[in-house]
Amino acid sequence: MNKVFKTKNYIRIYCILIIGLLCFISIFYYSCGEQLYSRDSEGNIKEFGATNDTGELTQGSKAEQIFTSDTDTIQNIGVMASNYGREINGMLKLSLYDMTENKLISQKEFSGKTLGINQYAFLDINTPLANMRGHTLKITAEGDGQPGDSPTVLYSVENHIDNQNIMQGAALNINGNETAGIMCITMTGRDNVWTGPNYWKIALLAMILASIFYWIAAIRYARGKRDYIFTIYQALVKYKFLIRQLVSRDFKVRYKRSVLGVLWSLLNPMLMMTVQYMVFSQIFKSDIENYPVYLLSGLVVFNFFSEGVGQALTSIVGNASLITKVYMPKYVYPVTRVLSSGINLLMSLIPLVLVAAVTHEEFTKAYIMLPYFLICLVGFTIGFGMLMSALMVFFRDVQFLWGILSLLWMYLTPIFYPLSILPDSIKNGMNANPMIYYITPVRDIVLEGITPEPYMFFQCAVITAISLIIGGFIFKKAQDKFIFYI
Amino acid sequence: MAKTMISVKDVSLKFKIDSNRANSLKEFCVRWLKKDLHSQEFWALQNISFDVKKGDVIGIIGRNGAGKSTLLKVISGIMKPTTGSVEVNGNIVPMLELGSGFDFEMTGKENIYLNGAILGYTKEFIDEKYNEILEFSELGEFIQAPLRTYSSGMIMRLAFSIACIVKPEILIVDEILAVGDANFQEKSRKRMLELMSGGTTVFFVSHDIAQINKMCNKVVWLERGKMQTVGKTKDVIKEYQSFLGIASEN
Repeated sequence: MNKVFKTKNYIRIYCILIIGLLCFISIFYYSCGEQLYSRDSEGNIKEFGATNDTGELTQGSKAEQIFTSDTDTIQNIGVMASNYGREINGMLKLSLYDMTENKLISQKEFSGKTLGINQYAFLDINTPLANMRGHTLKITAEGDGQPGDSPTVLYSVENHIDNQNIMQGAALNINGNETAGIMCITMTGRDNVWTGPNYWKIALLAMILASIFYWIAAIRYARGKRDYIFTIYQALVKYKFLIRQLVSRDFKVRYKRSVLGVLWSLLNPMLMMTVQYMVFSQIFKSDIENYPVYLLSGLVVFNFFSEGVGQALTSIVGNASLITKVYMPKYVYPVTRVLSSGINLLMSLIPLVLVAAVTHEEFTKAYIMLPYFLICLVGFTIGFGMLMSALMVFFRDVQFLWGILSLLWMYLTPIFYPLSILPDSIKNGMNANPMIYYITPVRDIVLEGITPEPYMFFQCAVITAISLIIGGFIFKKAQDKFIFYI
Repeated sequence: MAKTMISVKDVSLKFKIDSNRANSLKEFCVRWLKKDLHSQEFWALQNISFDVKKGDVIGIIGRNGAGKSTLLKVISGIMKPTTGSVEVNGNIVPMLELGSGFDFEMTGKENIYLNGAILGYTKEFIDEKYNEILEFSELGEFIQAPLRTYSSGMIMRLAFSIACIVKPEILIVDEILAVGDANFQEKSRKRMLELMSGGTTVFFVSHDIAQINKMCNKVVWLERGKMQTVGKTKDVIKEYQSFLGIASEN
């Protein structure tokens, strides 16, 4: 068979591979955009509640907070202040100093009337401040009013900042006296990510690695050794038409003689979502923004998986009459079953997108990356389906087991509940649930409108590969025995 | 010297007897605990070897349960031999049971494409041959109707037409020449002969000695999974008939 494979073919596949990789790299870059360069900082200071106030900041009195920046770029910084609900004329002047470089960064005066009760007043930072990590910062609050007519800023004696990097050298001075506690400040910023500046280097490295692997495989194959890449490629070319025929058969036959036909593919997830929404929305409403989309995205992903495996499960046993009479590579059966469920998956994306649109989710460019995760999901399902279908041939119990297992699996996956309600011990155990790695990025895209972090792409690919390798290996080992057991 | 199309090399196939196989997980565990997982074995084929040249028409004869159909399944790749190997040069169209790939909810036309794909034809090929298949099957308008509305004769005609419209290099036939009415039977017999004279290698299982005599140039005689003789049709059949005579006397 190797003889028909000419050098021309090797080069053609290579070109397809490289162009495909290049496209992926470019689209990925476009889709991620800013995310490749920076991400929400770990060193952000969230708003927190106050226990004390500094007293009225009248003319000449001031409160200072010294702390250390733990973010690379500072976008926003504010202090909690109060006018006690009075109409006051005294002003509040906030200043931010960079003690490391000894300069004033920003300064703003607030009229006492606009402050409100225990609300954050934010300094103007027009261009985000870069390279601030490790810098010692000082926030000063000064007043200019008369007693009884001046604002105050608030602080907390309970330590509300756990991040030790921020607390390094931190001190609160009120009118020159060092005071226990910390001023109620908030700061948001972004951390630089190494991937951005190095992106094209990584891309180049990936291309070079892919080329090396490809040509090693090609040379091995040309010398007549077995190589999986080319064996799979040839099988795909050879059985493309057969697989397409079987998939279209599955799909056509599924809804034959049903009144609503293909609409069921859309209705099914919609109805499921509606029912679960009615039941669970009351419980989890406060925890999750846009619960319908959260629910539906989980359902779409998980339903495909459980349906795909369920279909693949019976693919060998159910096609017994064919297997005993015509030769076909046996993996064709589970693969086509999963692929026809894949059509269903595509259809069920329509209600997902509709609901997202109705609930005013934005359609960002992150959507370009959705197919990547769906393809990985299909791959994972194929691998798992192959494993199950092979087991099914030897033990018919597997189908009943799968009924229970898929139900259990569904409850163990955060589909209708938020991950945050779980205790930490179970949350860590969740990392062992492969479905998490498909549902989370899909939700990132649909709900958050952001491209998932690069490591998620990697995790997804690895889990898919593991599933395909294990499933494929066991299936291959078992397939010659199938005929004696069906 | 004609090209060798199929070379069967020392093929043996072992079955496990059905009756005491662990079919469920529970049974498996119980047996495993009892250390009773050995099932009885049975050799369906033992040390079969022969070569087939291009254009040969091979008859396979033998009594019931001699392993004829099993041998055809091994040659068509459906079963893998336990030991030994089968080398095949060329595309095989197995006609073990006609229309096993049909879907009864789909129309005749859709089934032509589906079954064609199962038999390993390409789309272009079926597109090209579609009219020929339709004509040969004599189905006319019915081709657009779902298969469940067909009579069994119509289904057989369609299946035969799909399998035979190609010129397969190797055709494997398991007693299926009686398809449709007399008219169609005649037509399909003609088609078979046409294929044979056109250089197709044919494997042919039949109990009808007269038919074998008429069509085959080489015969393989199987007896209880072992190859008794292989050779010229006349010689093997004479031997087989005298053996049958003895066997029936006992």
